[in-house]
Amino acid sequence: MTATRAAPTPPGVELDGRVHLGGLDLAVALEVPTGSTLVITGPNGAGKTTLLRIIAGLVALDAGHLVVGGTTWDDAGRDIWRPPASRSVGFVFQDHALFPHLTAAENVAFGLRARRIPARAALTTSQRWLERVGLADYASCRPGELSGGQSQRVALARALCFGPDVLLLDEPFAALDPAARSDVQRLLADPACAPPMLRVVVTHDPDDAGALGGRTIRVVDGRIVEG
Amino acid sequence: MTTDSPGSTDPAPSVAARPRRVPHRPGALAVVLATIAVASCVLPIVGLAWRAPWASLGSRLGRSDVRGALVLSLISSTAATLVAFTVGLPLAWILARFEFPLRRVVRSVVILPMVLPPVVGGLALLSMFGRSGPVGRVLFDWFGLTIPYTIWAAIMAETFVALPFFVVTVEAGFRGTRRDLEEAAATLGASRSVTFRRVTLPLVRPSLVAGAVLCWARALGEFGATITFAGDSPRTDTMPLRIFLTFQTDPGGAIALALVLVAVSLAVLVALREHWLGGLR
Repeated sequence: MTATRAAPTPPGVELDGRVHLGGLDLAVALEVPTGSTLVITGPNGAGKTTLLRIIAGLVALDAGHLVVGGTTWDDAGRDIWRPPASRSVGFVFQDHALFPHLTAAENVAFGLRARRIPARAALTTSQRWLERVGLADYASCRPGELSGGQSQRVALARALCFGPDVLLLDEPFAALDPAARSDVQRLLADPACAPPMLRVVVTHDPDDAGALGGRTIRVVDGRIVEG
Repeated sequence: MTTDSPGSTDPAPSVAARPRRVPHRPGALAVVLATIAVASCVLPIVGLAWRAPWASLGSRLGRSDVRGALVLSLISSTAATLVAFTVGLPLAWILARFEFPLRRVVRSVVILPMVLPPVVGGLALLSMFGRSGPVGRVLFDWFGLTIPYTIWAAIMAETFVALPFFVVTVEAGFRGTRRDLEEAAATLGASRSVTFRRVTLPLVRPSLVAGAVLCWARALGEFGATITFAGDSPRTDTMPLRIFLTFQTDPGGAIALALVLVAVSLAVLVALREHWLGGLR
Protein backbone atom coordinates (compact mmCIF):
# COMPACT_ATOMS: atom_id res chain seq x y z
CA MET A 1 0.00 0.00 0.00
CA THR A 2 1.16 3.57 -0.62
CA ALA A 3 2.05 5.37 2.60
CA THR A 4 0.09 8.55 1.93
CA ARG A 5 -1.45 8.42 5.41
CA ALA A 6 0.18 7.88 8.77
CA ALA A 7 -2.11 4.88 9.41
CA PRO A 8 -4.07 6.17 12.44
CA THR A 9 -6.62 3.35 12.17
CA PRO A 10 -6.20 -0.32 11.36
CA PRO A 11 -6.98 -1.26 7.77
CA GLY A 12 -10.70 -1.70 7.08
CA VAL A 13 -10.41 -5.05 5.45
CA GLU A 14 -7.43 -7.33 5.18
CA LEU A 15 -7.84 -10.46 3.09
CA ASP A 16 -5.02 -12.86 2.38
CA GLY A 17 -6.32 -16.27 1.49
CA ARG A 18 -6.89 -19.11 -0.86
CA VAL A 19 -9.98 -21.08 -1.91
CA HIS A 20 -10.38 -24.14 -4.11
CA LEU A 21 -13.89 -24.36 -5.48
CA GLY A 22 -14.68 -26.70 -8.34
CA GLY A 23 -12.32 -25.72 -11.13
CA LEU A 24 -11.50 -22.37 -9.55
CA ASP A 25 -8.28 -21.78 -7.60
CA LEU A 26 -8.58 -18.34 -6.03
CA ALA A 27 -5.58 -16.85 -4.24
CA VAL A 28 -5.78 -13.17 -3.30
CA ALA A 29 -4.11 -10.72 -0.95
CA LEU A 30 -5.49 -7.24 -0.47
CA GLU A 31 -5.80 -4.50 2.10
CA VAL A 32 -8.46 -1.83 1.83
CA PRO A 33 -8.65 1.22 4.10
CA THR A 34 -11.75 1.96 6.17
CA GLY A 35 -14.57 3.69 4.36
CA SER A 36 -13.38 3.03 0.83
CA THR A 37 -14.86 1.49 -2.27
CA LEU A 38 -13.24 -1.45 -3.98
CA VAL A 39 -14.25 -2.23 -7.55
CA ILE A 40 -13.53 -5.71 -8.85
CA THR A 41 -13.53 -6.29 -12.60
CA GLY A 42 -12.54 -9.24 -14.71
CA PRO A 43 -13.92 -11.89 -17.06
CA ASN A 44 -16.66 -14.37 -16.15
CA GLY A 45 -15.54 -17.26 -13.98
CA ALA A 46 -12.45 -15.40 -12.75
CA GLY A 47 -13.55 -15.57 -9.11
CA LYS A 48 -15.10 -12.10 -8.63
CA THR A 49 -18.31 -13.39 -7.05
CA THR A 50 -16.34 -15.91 -4.98
CA LEU A 51 -14.42 -12.98 -3.46
CA LEU A 52 -17.71 -11.42 -2.35
CA ARG A 53 -18.89 -14.78 -0.99
CA ILE A 54 -15.68 -15.14 1.04
CA ILE A 55 -16.27 -11.73 2.64
CA ALA A 56 -19.95 -12.56 3.29
CA GLY A 57 -19.10 -15.92 4.84
CA LEU A 58 -20.86 -18.01 2.21
CA VAL A 59 -17.51 -19.55 1.26
CA ALA A 60 -14.87 -20.41 3.87
CA LEU A 61 -11.18 -19.89 3.19
CA ASP A 62 -9.11 -23.05 2.69
CA ALA A 63 -6.03 -21.14 3.82
CA GLY A 64 -5.26 -17.62 5.03
CA HIS A 65 -7.36 -15.08 6.89
CA LEU A 66 -9.92 -12.29 6.58
CA VAL A 67 -9.88 -9.46 9.10
CA VAL A 68 -12.51 -6.71 9.02
CA GLY A 69 -12.18 -3.64 11.24
CA GLY A 70 -9.72 -5.42 13.47
CA THR A 71 -11.98 -8.46 13.97
CA THR A 72 -11.03 -11.82 12.47
CA TRP A 73 -13.94 -13.17 10.42
CA ASP A 74 -12.15 -16.15 8.93
CA ASP A 75 -8.80 -17.72 9.73
CA ALA A 76 -8.19 -21.20 8.38
CA GLY A 77 -4.97 -21.60 10.38
CA ARG A 78 -6.54 -20.71 13.74
CA ASP A 79 -9.86 -22.37 12.97
CA ILE A 80 -11.84 -19.15 13.36
CA TRP A 81 -14.95 -18.69 11.27
CA ARG A 82 -17.74 -16.23 11.84
CA PRO A 83 -21.03 -17.30 10.21
CA PRO A 84 -22.68 -14.93 7.68
CA ALA A 85 -25.45 -14.02 10.12
CA SER A 86 -23.00 -12.37 12.53
CA ARG A 87 -20.81 -10.57 9.97
CA SER A 88 -22.72 -7.30 9.43
CA VAL A 89 -22.59 -7.55 5.66
CA GLY A 90 -25.20 -6.28 3.20
CA PHE A 91 -25.08 -8.44 0.07
CA VAL A 92 -26.85 -7.42 -3.13
CA PHE A 93 -26.91 -10.61 -5.19
CA GLN A 94 -26.62 -10.53 -8.94
CA ASP A 95 -30.20 -11.76 -9.43
CA HIS A 96 -31.26 -9.78 -6.33
CA ALA A 97 -32.48 -12.90 -4.46
CA LEU A 98 -35.60 -11.16 -3.16
CA PHE A 99 -37.92 -13.42 -1.17
CA PRO A 100 -40.82 -14.09 -3.57
CA HIS A 101 -43.35 -14.75 -0.79
CA LEU A 102 -42.74 -11.41 0.95
CA THR A 103 -43.70 -7.89 -0.10
CA ALA A 104 -41.06 -5.30 -0.95
CA ALA A 105 -41.45 -3.75 2.52
CA GLU A 106 -41.17 -7.16 4.23
CA ASN A 107 -38.09 -7.96 2.14
CA VAL A 108 -36.40 -4.74 3.23
CA ALA A 109 -37.43 -5.30 6.85
CA PHE A 110 -36.07 -8.86 6.89
CA GLY A 111 -32.61 -7.96 8.20
CA LEU A 112 -34.15 -5.86 10.98
CA ARG A 113 -36.62 -8.59 11.97
CA ALA A 114 -33.75 -11.11 12.01
CA ARG A 115 -32.12 -8.78 14.55
CA ARG A 116 -35.23 -8.98 16.72
CA ILE A 117 -36.39 -5.45 16.00
CA PRO A 118 -40.17 -5.30 16.58
CA ALA A 119 -42.27 -5.63 13.44
CA ARG A 120 -43.73 -2.13 13.61
CA ALA A 121 -40.37 -0.40 14.00
CA ALA A 122 -38.84 -2.59 11.32
CA LEU A 123 -41.57 -1.73 8.82
CA THR A 124 -41.21 2.00 9.58
CA THR A 125 -37.49 1.84 8.83
CA SER A 126 -38.17 -0.31 5.79
CA GLN A 127 -40.66 2.25 4.48
CA ARG A 128 -38.08 5.03 4.94
CA TRP A 129 -35.58 3.06 2.88
CA LEU A 130 -38.13 2.37 0.16
CA GLU A 131 -38.72 6.14 -0.01
CA ARG A 132 -34.98 6.72 -0.22
CA VAL A 133 -34.68 4.38 -3.22
CA GLY A 134 -37.77 5.91 -4.81
CA LEU A 135 -40.15 2.99 -4.29
CA ALA A 136 -42.45 4.28 -1.53
CA ASP A 137 -45.50 3.34 -3.60
CA TYR A 138 -44.35 -0.25 -4.12
CA ALA A 139 -44.15 -1.29 -0.46
CA SER A 140 -46.90 -3.90 -0.78
CA CYS A 141 -45.78 -5.30 -4.16
CA ARG A 142 -44.26 -8.74 -4.36
CA PRO A 143 -40.98 -9.20 -6.23
CA GLY A 144 -42.80 -10.78 -9.17
CA GLU A 145 -44.60 -7.48 -9.77
CA LEU A 146 -41.42 -5.38 -9.87
CA SER A 147 -39.24 -4.51 -12.87
CA GLY A 148 -35.56 -5.42 -12.88
CA GLY A 149 -34.50 -1.94 -11.83
CA GLN A 150 -37.11 -1.78 -9.08
CA SER A 151 -36.15 -5.14 -7.62
CA GLN A 152 -32.49 -4.09 -7.75
CA ARG A 153 -33.35 -1.04 -5.65
CA VAL A 154 -35.37 -3.14 -3.20
CA ALA A 155 -32.36 -5.47 -2.88
CA LEU A 156 -30.13 -2.45 -2.22
CA ALA A 157 -32.51 -1.09 0.43
CA ARG A 158 -32.70 -4.55 2.03
CA ALA A 159 -28.92 -4.82 2.15
CA LEU A 160 -28.48 -1.36 3.74
CA CYS A 161 -31.55 -1.14 5.99
CA PHE A 162 -29.95 -2.79 9.05
CA GLY A 163 -26.80 -0.64 8.84
CA PRO A 164 -24.11 -3.15 7.84
CA ASP A 165 -20.38 -2.37 8.08
CA VAL A 166 -19.74 -3.81 4.62
CA LEU A 167 -21.82 -3.61 1.44
CA LEU A 168 -21.24 -6.15 -1.32
CA LEU A 169 -22.73 -5.58 -4.76
CA ASP A 170 -22.55 -8.32 -7.39
CA GLU A 171 -22.99 -6.89 -10.89
CA PRO A 172 -25.42 -4.20 -9.70
CA PHE A 173 -25.87 -2.81 -13.20
CA ALA A 174 -26.17 -6.01 -15.21
CA ALA A 175 -29.57 -6.53 -16.81
CA LEU A 176 -30.71 -2.94 -16.16
CA ASP A 177 -31.88 -0.62 -18.90
CA PRO A 178 -30.01 2.72 -19.17
CA ALA A 179 -32.57 4.68 -17.11
CA ALA A 180 -32.60 2.15 -14.27
CA ARG A 181 -28.83 2.00 -14.48
CA SER A 182 -28.40 5.71 -13.85
CA ASP A 183 -30.97 5.52 -11.00
CA VAL A 184 -28.91 2.89 -9.25
CA GLN A 185 -25.66 4.74 -9.97
CA ARG A 186 -27.11 7.90 -8.43
CA LEU A 187 -28.18 5.93 -5.36
CA LEU A 188 -24.72 4.47 -4.92
CA ALA A 189 -23.28 8.00 -5.03
CA ASP A 190 -25.53 8.98 -2.10
CA PRO A 191 -23.51 9.04 1.16
CA ALA A 192 -26.47 7.45 2.97
CA CYS A 193 -25.87 4.35 0.86
CA ALA A 194 -22.21 4.05 1.82
CA PRO A 195 -21.41 1.63 4.64
CA PRO A 196 -18.89 2.78 7.24
CA MET A 197 -16.30 0.11 6.62
CA LEU A 198 -16.17 -0.96 3.01
CA ARG A 199 -18.07 -1.20 -0.23
CA VAL A 200 -17.15 -3.84 -2.78
CA VAL A 201 -18.63 -3.73 -6.27
CA VAL A 202 -18.19 -6.53 -8.77
CA THR A 203 -18.69 -5.54 -12.38
CA HIS A 204 -17.50 -6.87 -15.69
CA ASP A 205 -18.00 -3.42 -17.27
CA PRO A 206 -14.93 -1.12 -17.05
CA ASP A 207 -17.17 1.96 -17.55
CA ASP A 208 -19.04 1.21 -14.30
CA ALA A 209 -15.73 0.80 -12.53
CA GLY A 210 -14.77 4.34 -13.48
CA ALA A 211 -18.13 5.81 -12.46
CA LEU A 212 -18.00 4.33 -8.95
CA GLY A 213 -14.66 5.77 -7.94
CA GLY A 214 -12.41 4.09 -5.44
CA ARG A 215 -9.73 1.56 -6.10
CA THR A 216 -10.19 -0.88 -8.96
CA ILE A 217 -8.65 -4.31 -9.10
CA ARG A 218 -8.89 -6.80 -11.91
CA VAL A 219 -9.24 -10.51 -11.20
CA VAL A 220 -8.23 -13.03 -13.85
CA ASP A 221 -8.14 -16.78 -13.27
CA GLY A 222 -8.32 -16.40 -9.50
CA ARG A 223 -5.42 -13.93 -9.29
CA ILE A 224 -5.44 -10.16 -8.75
CA VAL A 225 -4.05 -8.14 -11.62
CA GLU A 226 -3.93 -4.54 -10.33
CA GLY A 227 -5.90 -2.28 -12.63
CA MET B 1 -43.94 -15.26 -46.77
CA THR B 2 -40.91 -16.15 -48.88
CA THR B 3 -38.84 -13.26 -47.58
CA ASP B 4 -38.24 -14.84 -44.20
CA SER B 5 -36.85 -18.05 -45.68
CA PRO B 6 -33.09 -17.85 -45.18
CA GLY B 7 -32.14 -19.81 -48.28
CA SER B 8 -33.51 -17.71 -51.14
CA THR B 9 -32.12 -20.15 -53.70
CA ASP B 10 -34.67 -22.81 -52.65
CA PRO B 11 -37.40 -23.47 -55.18
CA ALA B 12 -40.49 -21.49 -54.18
CA PRO B 13 -42.84 -23.71 -52.11
CA SER B 14 -46.51 -23.83 -52.92
CA VAL B 15 -47.38 -20.62 -51.11
CA ALA B 16 -51.12 -21.25 -50.74
CA ALA B 17 -50.61 -24.59 -48.96
CA ARG B 18 -48.07 -23.29 -46.46
CA PRO B 19 -49.71 -23.06 -43.02
CA ARG B 20 -49.15 -19.89 -41.05
CA ARG B 21 -48.15 -21.95 -38.04
CA VAL B 22 -46.66 -25.38 -37.58
CA PRO B 23 -49.55 -27.80 -36.87
CA HIS B 24 -49.80 -28.38 -33.15
CA ARG B 25 -52.21 -31.19 -32.40
CA PRO B 26 -51.76 -34.81 -31.32
CA GLY B 27 -52.08 -37.72 -33.74
CA ALA B 28 -55.22 -39.91 -33.85
CA LEU B 29 -53.58 -42.90 -32.14
CA ALA B 30 -52.43 -40.77 -29.18
CA VAL B 31 -55.94 -39.34 -28.84
CA VAL B 32 -57.57 -42.80 -28.87
CA LEU B 33 -55.17 -44.25 -26.31
CA ALA B 34 -55.47 -41.17 -24.09
CA THR B 35 -59.26 -41.46 -24.26
CA ILE B 36 -59.03 -45.08 -23.11
CA ALA B 37 -56.88 -43.90 -20.21
CA VAL B 38 -59.46 -41.29 -19.18
CA ALA B 39 -62.30 -43.81 -19.55
CA SER B 40 -60.47 -46.31 -17.35
CA CYS B 41 -60.48 -43.68 -14.60
CA VAL B 42 -64.02 -42.45 -15.06
CA LEU B 43 -66.07 -45.54 -16.04
CA PRO B 44 -65.68 -47.47 -12.76
CA ILE B 45 -66.83 -44.43 -10.78
CA VAL B 46 -69.81 -44.07 -13.10
CA GLY B 47 -70.57 -47.75 -12.46
CA LEU B 48 -70.50 -47.12 -8.75
CA ALA B 49 -73.00 -44.29 -9.08
CA TRP B 50 -75.12 -46.44 -11.43
CA ARG B 51 -75.44 -49.31 -8.96
CA ALA B 52 -75.81 -47.15 -5.89
CA PRO B 53 -78.98 -47.73 -3.80
CA TRP B 54 -79.87 -44.03 -3.91
CA ALA B 55 -83.32 -44.49 -2.29
CA SER B 56 -81.98 -46.11 0.87
CA LEU B 57 -78.71 -44.17 0.95
CA GLY B 58 -79.67 -41.97 3.87
CA SER B 59 -80.72 -44.78 6.17
CA ARG B 60 -77.73 -46.95 5.25
CA LEU B 61 -75.22 -44.17 5.95
CA GLY B 62 -77.00 -43.09 9.11
CA ARG B 63 -76.22 -46.36 10.89
CA SER B 64 -73.98 -45.93 13.91
CA ASP B 65 -71.39 -48.49 12.79
CA VAL B 66 -71.01 -46.64 9.48
CA ARG B 67 -70.59 -43.31 11.22
CA GLY B 68 -68.14 -44.95 13.61
CA ALA B 69 -66.08 -46.30 10.73
CA LEU B 70 -66.03 -42.91 9.00
CA VAL B 71 -64.96 -41.11 12.18
CA LEU B 72 -62.29 -43.74 12.88
CA SER B 73 -61.01 -43.38 9.31
CA LEU B 74 -60.83 -39.60 9.53
CA ILE B 75 -59.10 -39.71 12.92
CA SER B 76 -56.56 -42.40 12.02
CA SER B 77 -55.69 -40.96 8.58
CA THR B 78 -55.30 -37.46 10.03
CA ALA B 79 -53.15 -38.81 12.87
CA ALA B 80 -51.02 -40.74 10.36
CA THR B 81 -50.58 -37.55 8.32
CA LEU B 82 -49.54 -35.59 11.41
CA VAL B 83 -46.96 -38.24 12.27
CA ALA B 84 -45.72 -38.28 8.67
CA PHE B 85 -45.48 -34.47 8.72
CA THR B 86 -43.59 -34.39 12.01
CA VAL B 87 -40.95 -36.99 11.17
CA GLY B 88 -41.12 -36.78 7.38
CA LEU B 89 -40.38 -33.05 7.11
CA PRO B 90 -36.93 -33.24 8.73
CA LEU B 91 -36.19 -36.44 6.82
CA ALA B 92 -37.11 -34.88 3.47
CA TRP B 93 -34.99 -31.82 4.31
CA ILE B 94 -31.95 -33.92 5.26
CA LEU B 95 -32.31 -36.11 2.17
CA ALA B 96 -32.59 -33.06 -0.08
CA ARG B 97 -29.86 -30.93 1.44
CA PHE B 98 -27.09 -33.07 2.85
CA GLU B 99 -24.60 -35.56 1.48
CA PHE B 100 -23.96 -38.42 3.87
CA PRO B 101 -22.98 -42.06 3.59
CA LEU B 102 -25.85 -44.38 2.68
CA ARG B 103 -28.11 -41.49 1.69
CA ARG B 104 -29.41 -43.46 -1.30
CA VAL B 105 -29.94 -46.50 0.90
CA VAL B 106 -31.92 -44.43 3.41
CA ARG B 107 -34.09 -43.03 0.64
CA SER B 108 -34.72 -46.49 -0.82
CA VAL B 109 -35.69 -47.85 2.59
CA VAL B 110 -38.12 -45.00 3.14
CA ILE B 111 -39.67 -45.48 -0.29
CA LEU B 112 -39.94 -49.24 0.17
CA PRO B 113 -43.47 -49.19 1.68
CA MET B 114 -44.62 -47.45 -1.50
CA VAL B 115 -43.78 -50.50 -3.61
CA LEU B 116 -44.27 -53.15 -0.92
CA PRO B 117 -47.65 -54.93 -1.03
CA PRO B 118 -49.55 -53.43 1.94
CA VAL B 119 -50.50 -56.84 3.33
CA VAL B 120 -46.78 -57.64 3.58
CA GLY B 121 -46.31 -54.36 5.42
CA GLY B 122 -49.06 -55.35 7.84
CA LEU B 123 -47.40 -58.72 8.48
CA ALA B 124 -44.07 -56.96 9.02
CA LEU B 125 -45.61 -54.57 11.56
CA LEU B 126 -47.25 -57.51 13.31
CA SER B 127 -43.94 -59.39 13.42
CA MET B 128 -42.18 -56.47 15.09
CA PHE B 129 -44.92 -54.96 17.26
CA GLY B 130 -47.13 -58.00 17.86
CA ARG B 131 -47.00 -59.56 21.32
CA SER B 132 -44.38 -62.09 20.27
CA GLY B 133 -42.37 -59.55 18.25
CA PRO B 134 -39.15 -58.09 19.66
CA VAL B 135 -40.63 -54.66 20.39
CA GLY B 136 -44.17 -55.85 21.06
CA ARG B 137 -43.03 -58.27 23.76
CA VAL B 138 -41.09 -55.56 25.58
CA LEU B 139 -44.05 -53.19 25.41
CA PHE B 140 -46.33 -55.87 26.84
CA ASP B 141 -43.97 -57.24 29.49
CA TRP B 142 -42.81 -53.87 30.78
CA PHE B 143 -45.82 -51.63 30.26
CA GLY B 144 -48.70 -54.00 29.65
CA LEU B 145 -49.26 -52.40 26.25
CA THR B 146 -50.68 -54.24 23.27
CA ILE B 147 -50.60 -52.54 19.92
CA PRO B 148 -52.20 -54.95 17.44
CA TYR B 149 -55.96 -54.76 17.02
CA THR B 150 -56.13 -51.23 18.48
CA ILE B 151 -56.59 -47.84 16.83
CA TRP B 152 -52.84 -47.32 17.39
CA ALA B 153 -52.21 -50.26 15.08
CA ALA B 154 -54.47 -48.70 12.45
CA ILE B 155 -52.56 -45.40 12.72
CA MET B 156 -49.18 -47.17 12.55
CA ALA B 157 -50.23 -49.22 9.52
CA GLU B 158 -51.48 -46.11 7.72
CA THR B 159 -48.34 -44.14 8.62
CA PHE B 160 -46.11 -46.97 7.38
CA VAL B 161 -47.82 -47.05 4.01
CA ALA B 162 -48.41 -43.30 3.54
CA LEU B 163 -45.17 -41.75 4.86
CA PRO B 164 -43.19 -42.23 1.61
CA PHE B 165 -45.76 -40.20 -0.34
CA PHE B 166 -45.11 -37.25 1.96
CA VAL B 167 -41.33 -37.63 2.03
CA VAL B 168 -40.92 -38.02 -1.73
CA THR B 169 -43.13 -35.01 -2.51
CA VAL B 170 -41.53 -32.73 0.07
CA GLU B 171 -37.99 -33.78 -0.78
CA ALA B 172 -38.64 -32.78 -4.39
CA GLY B 173 -39.96 -29.46 -3.06
CA PHE B 174 -36.79 -28.81 -1.05
CA ARG B 175 -34.65 -29.66 -4.06
CA GLY B 176 -36.60 -27.18 -6.16
CA THR B 177 -36.12 -24.19 -3.84
CA ARG B 178 -33.48 -21.58 -4.61
CA ARG B 179 -30.49 -21.88 -2.30
CA ASP B 180 -29.48 -18.27 -2.91
CA LEU B 181 -32.58 -17.12 -1.02
CA GLU B 182 -31.36 -19.01 2.05
CA GLU B 183 -27.93 -17.48 1.58
CA ALA B 184 -29.50 -14.04 1.32
CA ALA B 185 -31.36 -14.66 4.58
CA ALA B 186 -28.11 -15.69 6.26
CA THR B 187 -26.29 -12.52 5.15
CA LEU B 188 -29.24 -10.51 6.47
CA GLY B 189 -28.55 -11.90 9.93
CA ALA B 190 -31.08 -14.74 10.06
CA SER B 191 -30.09 -17.80 12.10
CA ARG B 192 -30.57 -21.24 10.57
CA SER B 193 -33.88 -21.73 12.33
CA VAL B 194 -35.20 -18.29 11.32
CA THR B 195 -34.10 -18.93 7.73
CA PHE B 196 -35.87 -22.27 7.76
CA ARG B 197 -39.10 -20.89 9.21
CA ARG B 198 -39.29 -17.60 7.33
CA VAL B 199 -37.75 -18.50 3.96
CA THR B 200 -37.42 -22.23 3.31
CA LEU B 201 -40.75 -23.40 4.69
CA PRO B 202 -42.87 -20.77 2.88
CA LEU B 203 -41.08 -21.67 -0.35
CA VAL B 204 -41.88 -25.39 -0.02
CA ARG B 205 -45.43 -24.77 1.18
CA PRO B 206 -47.05 -26.03 -2.06
CA SER B 207 -45.08 -29.28 -1.78
CA LEU B 208 -46.00 -29.59 1.90
CA VAL B 209 -49.69 -29.27 1.07
CA ALA B 210 -49.48 -31.67 -1.87
CA GLY B 211 -47.44 -34.19 0.16
CA ALA B 212 -49.78 -34.01 3.13
CA VAL B 213 -52.84 -34.52 0.93
CA LEU B 214 -51.33 -37.45 -0.98
CA CYS B 215 -50.30 -38.96 2.34
CA TRP B 216 -53.72 -38.40 3.89
CA ALA B 217 -55.54 -39.85 0.89
CA ARG B 218 -53.31 -42.92 0.88
CA ALA B 219 -53.87 -43.37 4.62
CA LEU B 220 -57.62 -42.94 4.23
CA GLY B 221 -57.78 -45.73 1.68
CA GLU B 222 -55.33 -48.05 3.43
CA PHE B 223 -56.71 -51.61 3.62
CA GLY B 224 -54.14 -54.39 3.39
CA ALA B 225 -51.75 -53.38 6.16
CA THR B 226 -54.59 -52.24 8.41
CA ILE B 227 -56.61 -55.46 8.23
CA THR B 228 -53.46 -57.50 8.83
CA PHE B 229 -52.07 -55.48 11.74
CA ALA B 230 -55.18 -53.91 13.24
CA GLY B 231 -57.65 -56.64 12.34
CA ASP B 232 -61.38 -56.16 11.97
CA SER B 233 -63.27 -55.20 15.07
CA PRO B 234 -65.56 -52.30 15.90
CA ARG B 235 -62.50 -50.57 17.41
CA THR B 236 -60.38 -50.79 14.26
CA ASP B 237 -62.85 -50.93 11.38
CA THR B 238 -61.87 -48.06 9.14
CA MET B 239 -63.99 -47.27 6.08
CA PRO B 240 -62.09 -49.51 3.62
CA LEU B 241 -62.42 -52.46 6.04
CA ARG B 242 -66.10 -51.70 6.63
CA ILE B 243 -66.67 -51.55 2.87
CA PHE B 244 -64.97 -54.89 2.30
CA LEU B 245 -66.80 -56.60 5.19
CA THR B 246 -70.17 -55.16 4.19
CA PHE B 247 -69.61 -56.29 0.62
CA GLN B 248 -69.58 -59.96 1.77
CA THR B 249 -73.24 -59.77 2.76
CA ASP B 250 -74.68 -56.54 1.33
CA PRO B 251 -73.16 -55.28 -1.96
CA GLY B 252 -75.58 -52.35 -2.09
CA GLY B 253 -74.50 -51.24 1.37
CA ALA B 254 -70.84 -51.49 0.37
CA ILE B 255 -71.49 -49.26 -2.64
CA ALA B 256 -73.19 -46.71 -0.42
CA LEU B 257 -70.13 -46.62 1.83
CA ALA B 258 -67.82 -46.43 -1.17
CA LEU B 259 -69.69 -43.35 -2.38
CA VAL B 260 -68.79 -41.62 0.87
CA LEU B 261 -65.09 -42.11 0.16
CA VAL B 262 -65.59 -40.97 -3.44
CA ALA B 263 -67.21 -37.80 -2.10
CA VAL B 264 -64.39 -37.21 0.38
CA SER B 265 -61.77 -37.72 -2.33
CA LEU B 266 -63.55 -35.39 -4.75
CA ALA B 267 -63.87 -32.76 -2.03
CA VAL B 268 -60.10 -32.88 -1.46
CA LEU B 269 -59.43 -32.67 -5.18
CA VAL B 270 -61.71 -29.65 -5.54
CA ALA B 271 -60.26 -27.94 -2.47
CA LEU B 272 -56.75 -28.33 -3.84
CA ARG B 273 -57.38 -27.71 -7.52
CA GLU B 274 -55.32 -24.52 -7.34
CA HIS B 275 -52.39 -26.40 -5.84
CA TRP B 276 -52.28 -29.19 -8.38
CA LEU B 277 -54.33 -28.46 -11.43
CA GLY B 278 -53.34 -24.80 -11.34
CA GLY B 279 -49.70 -25.69 -11.14
CA LEU B 280 -49.91 -28.01 -14.12
CA ARG B 281 -51.94 -25.74 -16.36
